[in-house]
Amino acid sequence: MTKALLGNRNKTKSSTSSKKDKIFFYALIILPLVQFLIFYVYVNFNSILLSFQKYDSSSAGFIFLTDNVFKNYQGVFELGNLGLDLGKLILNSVILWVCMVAFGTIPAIIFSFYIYRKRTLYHFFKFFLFLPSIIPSILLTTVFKGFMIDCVSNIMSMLGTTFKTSNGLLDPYSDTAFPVLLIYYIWISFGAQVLFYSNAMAQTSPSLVEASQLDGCGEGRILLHVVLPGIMPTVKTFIIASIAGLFTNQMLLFNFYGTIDNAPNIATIGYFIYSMAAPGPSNYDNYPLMSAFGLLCSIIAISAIFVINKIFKRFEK
Amino acid sequence: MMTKIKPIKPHRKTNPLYVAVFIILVVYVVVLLVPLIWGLFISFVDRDAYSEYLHNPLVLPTSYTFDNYINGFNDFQIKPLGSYTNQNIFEIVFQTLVYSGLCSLAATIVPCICAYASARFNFKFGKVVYGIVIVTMAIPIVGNLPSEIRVAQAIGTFDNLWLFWIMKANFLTIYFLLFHSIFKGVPMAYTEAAKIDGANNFRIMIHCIMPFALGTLGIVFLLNFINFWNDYQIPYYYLPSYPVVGTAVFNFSLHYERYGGIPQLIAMIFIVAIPIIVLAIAFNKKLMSNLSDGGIKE
Repeated sequence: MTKALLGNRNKTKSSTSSKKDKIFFYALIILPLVQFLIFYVYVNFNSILLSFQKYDSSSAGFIFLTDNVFKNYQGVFELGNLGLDLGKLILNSVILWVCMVAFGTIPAIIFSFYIYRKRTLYHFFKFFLFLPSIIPSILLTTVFKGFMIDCVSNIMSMLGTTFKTSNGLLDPYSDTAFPVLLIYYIWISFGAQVLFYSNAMAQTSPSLVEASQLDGCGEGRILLHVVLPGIMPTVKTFIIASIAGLFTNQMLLFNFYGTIDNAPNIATIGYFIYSMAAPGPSNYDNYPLMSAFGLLCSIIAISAIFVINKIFKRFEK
Repeated sequence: MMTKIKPIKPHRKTNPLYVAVFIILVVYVVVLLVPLIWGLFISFVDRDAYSEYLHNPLVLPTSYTFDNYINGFNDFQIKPLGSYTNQNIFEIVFQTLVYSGLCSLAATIVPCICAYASARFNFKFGKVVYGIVIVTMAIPIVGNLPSEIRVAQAIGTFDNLWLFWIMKANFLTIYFLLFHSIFKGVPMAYTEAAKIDGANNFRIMIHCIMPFALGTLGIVFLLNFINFWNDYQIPYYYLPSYPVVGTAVFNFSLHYERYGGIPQLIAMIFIVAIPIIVLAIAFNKKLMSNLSDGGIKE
């Protein structure tokens, strides 16, 4: 009898506590959840709707297309009307992505290994690799722009190189601007990757490394056969996450040139979307087109993620 | 008397791989620093001397002045959208502090709180929250900026300095996963013991569990603050009436001839970049050790 009574009391106590826990749990997450529903779910849903709409200046609002529902999607393939070349946009973005993955990832892994093995001045290098993430990008780009135009291009002119405009190497209509900016962008962005990889490498068991050293492995083999397999999930995550960058990476072009009218030849998709989405009635006409373009890019990016994930899985097998 | 014995460093063979990496890293540092040092020099050169320098860029100017910084400080003014009067540097810095401070607070506390709820309570919905973070991080959404701007305009966070932080109060960031792993790592015995002692859920969270994440909270806040301070693209679109230092500097860079040319423009950028660089250098060790030796950790 007493046992039964005590059991009931404990049950009531634990159910009250569970109820209190539940209330507290939902009190903690309710507001962030509302924020998520508005700024993620609704924003993206609205983006889909926007891609089937047009701006109506008389009512200063967006109305659904009635005559040709897919007009905005057709518009994506007719960017020439905006003075842009879709092929060039895609090509520039793909070149940027491939270079970022190929020339960014491999050196980043090697540099991370250098830091992980605590070689000469590793602390010093770690600081400088992290520095571009701290310094405002507008400072870096302005100084680099001034240095390239006023110093490097001027010196090249003195040595006999002729430039079409005073922008020298960074003239957006020249053949030099894109490669120069591409190299610069890769140069300043792989520092963050180094920090992530060296972080992942730190999880490698020291006994594994010691054992391989005792077995006579050189540093190269330790990297390839001991450390690299351990950080492969991080590398995979980075490569998969970089796919979104294919369509969002601006390569700092907005910092260098402002709006896309100033640099249509070297534009990437990310630069194009950001530049055309400036708020204000004069740009509202572009919003449905940008939404349609973004939706198509998202579909491609999601498909690409599935394909790359499958390729990785096949390699893992 | 005890004498301190220095540990003997093991002799390490010179490895060609490391020599090559060392050389590349030295080149990396030089390439990174040369334009910055050049910029620093140029920021002390007056306009006439700079024009002369452009004719012979191989020789650095010999006369330097502090005028670019003084003029840059005075010229650090911008007319916000729809306003007839200029805002001076103090107003712009104040707006930047409000923008960066509120957004960093929101972007730090919200993932932390949600991670706490998801990790410390055994409810199914907690797992759903965790799943939402993973799925949204894996699925890339492109081109929703126009829609986001429209929604912000409808809700009232657009061009609203004091409410803009709401847009940044989301838990869909990598910091959620970071806090989640910290809270998951704290034994449940702490919570149970506190409950036996009569503590309620709020006290348990604040007094028993949060101290485990305090250091990380500080670092995440600092990283967010640096990011928001340096950012100009979001406030450029979303806060047209409240220019922050980033947007002001971006505008100056588009019309630098009006602002005493390149030397003064660089001086103006250094003026607003120095506080954040000093802050980052002051916390350099903490940022480095927390970020790179095994992730952000206690």
